[in-house]
Amino acid sequence: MSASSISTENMSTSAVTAKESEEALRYYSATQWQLIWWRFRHHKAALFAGTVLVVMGLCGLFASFLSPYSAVNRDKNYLLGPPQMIQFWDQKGFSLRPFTHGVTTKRNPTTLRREAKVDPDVRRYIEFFAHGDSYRFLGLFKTDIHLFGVEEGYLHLFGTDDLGRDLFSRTLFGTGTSMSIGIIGVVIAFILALFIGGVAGYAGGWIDYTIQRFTEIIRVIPVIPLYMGLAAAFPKEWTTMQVYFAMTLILGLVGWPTLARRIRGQILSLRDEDYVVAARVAGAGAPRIIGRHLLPAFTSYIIVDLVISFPYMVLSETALSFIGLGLRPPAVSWGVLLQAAQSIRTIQHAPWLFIPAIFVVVAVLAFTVLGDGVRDAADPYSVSEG
Amino acid sequence: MTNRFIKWTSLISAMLFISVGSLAAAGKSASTVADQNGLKGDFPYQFELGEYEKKSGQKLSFNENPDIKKLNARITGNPALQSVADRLPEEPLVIQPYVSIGKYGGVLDGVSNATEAGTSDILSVRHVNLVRFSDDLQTIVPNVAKGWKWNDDFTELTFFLRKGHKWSDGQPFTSADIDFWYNDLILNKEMFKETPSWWLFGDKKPMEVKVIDETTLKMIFPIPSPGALTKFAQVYIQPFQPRHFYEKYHIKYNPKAGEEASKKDLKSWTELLNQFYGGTDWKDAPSPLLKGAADFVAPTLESHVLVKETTKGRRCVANPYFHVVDTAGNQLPYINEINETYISDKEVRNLTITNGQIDYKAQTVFIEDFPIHKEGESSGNYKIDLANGVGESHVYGFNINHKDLGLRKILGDVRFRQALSLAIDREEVIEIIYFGQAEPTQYLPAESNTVEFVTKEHLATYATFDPKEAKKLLDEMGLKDVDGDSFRERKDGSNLTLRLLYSNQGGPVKMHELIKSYWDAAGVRLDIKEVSSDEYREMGNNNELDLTFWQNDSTSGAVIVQNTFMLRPYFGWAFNPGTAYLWHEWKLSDGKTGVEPSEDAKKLYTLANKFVQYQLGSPESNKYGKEIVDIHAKNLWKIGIAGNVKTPLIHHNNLKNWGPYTVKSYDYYWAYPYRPFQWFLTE
Repeated sequence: MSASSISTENMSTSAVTAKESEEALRYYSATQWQLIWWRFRHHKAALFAGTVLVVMGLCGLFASFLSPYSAVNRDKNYLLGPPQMIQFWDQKGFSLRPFTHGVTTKRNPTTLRREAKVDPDVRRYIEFFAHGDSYRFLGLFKTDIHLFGVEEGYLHLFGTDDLGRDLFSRTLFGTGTSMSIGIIGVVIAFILALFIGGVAGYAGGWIDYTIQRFTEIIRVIPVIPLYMGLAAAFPKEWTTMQVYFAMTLILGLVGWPTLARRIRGQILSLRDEDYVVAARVAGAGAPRIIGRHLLPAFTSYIIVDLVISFPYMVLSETALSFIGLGLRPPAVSWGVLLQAAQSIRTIQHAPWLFIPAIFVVVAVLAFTVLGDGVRDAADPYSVSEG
Repeated sequence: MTNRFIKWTSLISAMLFISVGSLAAAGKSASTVADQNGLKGDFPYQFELGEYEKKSGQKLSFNENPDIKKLNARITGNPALQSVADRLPEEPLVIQPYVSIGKYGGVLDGVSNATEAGTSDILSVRHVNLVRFSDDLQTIVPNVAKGWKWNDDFTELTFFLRKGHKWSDGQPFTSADIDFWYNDLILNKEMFKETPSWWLFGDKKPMEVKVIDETTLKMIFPIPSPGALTKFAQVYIQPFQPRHFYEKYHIKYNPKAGEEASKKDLKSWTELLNQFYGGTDWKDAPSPLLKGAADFVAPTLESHVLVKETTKGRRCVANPYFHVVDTAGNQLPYINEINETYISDKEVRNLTITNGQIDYKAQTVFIEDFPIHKEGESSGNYKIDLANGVGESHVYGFNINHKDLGLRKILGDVRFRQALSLAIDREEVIEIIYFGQAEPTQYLPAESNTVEFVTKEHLATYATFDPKEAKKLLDEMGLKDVDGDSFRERKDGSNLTLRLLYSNQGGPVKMHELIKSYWDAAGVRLDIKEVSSDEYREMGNNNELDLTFWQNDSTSGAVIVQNTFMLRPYFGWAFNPGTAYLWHEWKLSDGKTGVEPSEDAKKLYTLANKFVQYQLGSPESNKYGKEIVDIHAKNLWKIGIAGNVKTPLIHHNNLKNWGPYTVKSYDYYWAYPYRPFQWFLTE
């Protein structure tokens, strides 16, 4: 039941049932966040997209546990092999335990192409909480337990690349890298925007003027040449890990202007409201007024902006790495994985190397749909037809 | 049994030759490589005219391409043509085509990356030089020069040119054009502030070029330089330039050359001259930006003359004055035009090949694309062959003169280098990177297929996969894992990380990922990072790298017989940085600066200088060569992965007279040994 129907019913003089009044009571006593959530719940697509993103985020976070192998473990007998199917039955009959058949790849002596050969006599049963490559779980403790694996040989749900590395595992690790670049980049951009926009809007006058001109300068710089320049400026002795952090930093450093403008505009329109004046008269300082009284008034806008800028960050990383400006092997990200797939060879002989592209598409779509839902829900006091 | 069999067959073939030879004499069929008709040149598959007429007992009359007048009209500034007999030298070169007398016409389609990028392959199709390597890559045979003579100690080389040989504009080509090239271009201080090291000998001294008469010329070298002849067989630079054409731009011949240049908005006469000359024959076209550029084309002796140059490609037409004829007297080349297109994206180039649009391509066709090309063979109507890729393998080098003294000590310890070599599973690298088309091989500065003194033992030095022994050697050095992270620390307990900065151009990144996995397993941490080729070279030449990585270039017999730079410190050159800069600095400064080389390294200077003074294959050359590779194998300053690397090349089925293109190498200048001037096209 939506806010509008409740209010119209309340306004009517007809008898109100006990149940309805209880609901109305809940509505009026609910916090802003509860209201947002209630409304968001009705947006099924956004709810689904949110779930997808949470799952992806968790996949990235727990990549080393969820993936059967490390990002560099090589299956020497299965190079550039196609994805394996998980089966429950074969010519030998039905098995309750899922299994895959043994596979190898062999070079065709004429075409020199690696061809996969399935050995239907060998069953590799999938086991859960299998022992494999050791890793540090979330950097806390050392373990070698993986969610699933096979007892003997290897299991490749997405196939392997030409070094025999498991694409499923690498995609999960890449998800972690790419999503974290998006998240960290957005957080940096957000903090910058909050500070710069907040100062500009609250102080006004020449400070605002200077900041606005500066923002404009940042906004008009074409992005790709800027990235190219910055990528070239990375010190040569940096490791790929440092480059990774620098990239997130750069993505954040150039991503703040839009949000800063919005925050500045909102603060500008609200700073002379009575309740702000009251706070100021009561002796509150600028940070408290901005943080406690102004920001909560337009949190919804901020959230929407944040959600919408996620996919741009993720796409930026992917695009930059794809054209060779961003992360480079041995780092693993969606962009790096896709860069390795850009050849006729891949299209003709190893299309499974494009699987990471599906992740990129799904993530970006999910972010967009989620943003849509959040935008509708974020201002729970507005009246909509729903 | 076998012996008798051979005797019988040779007897039969000899009888056949006699009978077929008499047919040829009757003018019914011409001699080819496949069917020599009993004719054998003093040099493989070719004759001088007099020699041919004597051996065949038949006088050659000359024929020309029916389209030659039309083609000539497209060459900027060329006058109308005389008859073919007047255009050819008095004694043209007569060659046996590989399979059959060709058919005139057609356009040879080629593809390169961009202007001056990956173009040498297609340049080699029309290339000529004083001499040429025959297709065995051992025998040097005449080409532009009719012959040559060495004095006894290889300090004087005399070339004999062809009387009546003409440039592509019909002007006479004489020894003055060689004299002009060396004395007025290479040695001119305004043209080259520093004389190109290619053309210096011994202790950086120039040779002396002396004109004897119109067709005779002597080169006098400061030290015995038998490799000089090899240079004229394999180098892309042409040691002759059309003096009559350049005279008007050269200050020595035209005092007003400077004014000519300013008329074209150029600063100096050298700038104007370089619009055509460009320092080498690499840039053999007037810059399209030059005012009035379309009015000129620099004359050439090559089989095809450039008529159009844009940013999208080049177009060349047959040279009406080319000095070679086939055994039926037809002036070569058979092919009317060369159409070279620039495509910078490798994948798009691959598509043009699989679509059958390319007639010939060797450079930048990689083994990783072999499967798609092989599967496209029949639909694209082409053939993909595997040739020996001399210089197509890869080498890791250790900076034994590292600026970080701790690292210098570790990298300078031969056990460390041996251990890292043993840690590499070469069989697996070969399977993944070289598609199984290579053999595990240690690095030596002499390519084993092109010299005689490299033994199997040399090639197998520490080239096995023995991770246990590798770990043992590292343990012995005192490099142990102190902090339990499974990576070894330096002796003082500080971090030991090797950084590999690599450029894509040097080789595939997958290779480093593999090497990293092996060295990680041995406990040596490797950090890999991509940089541009320029950055790589700059850092390398400034002694700032831990490790070098590049293709195994400049080690073929043809190169090391002329140049010592790969044989002695610093084991590299500007484009392929070395690993012992401080040693070399010590040597150059007579011990004032730099670091004193090891005794072995000092010996290399002496040995290398001796090595280049003997002809490749001579007993002395082999003796010094062996001593050099002994020292390299013992010290293992660089480690190699693979040898006998096979690499693909493509030729269209319409392209005929395809020779035994068995070695694909820049060092032998791609197609040049396989005589592209006798290729022809059907359809």
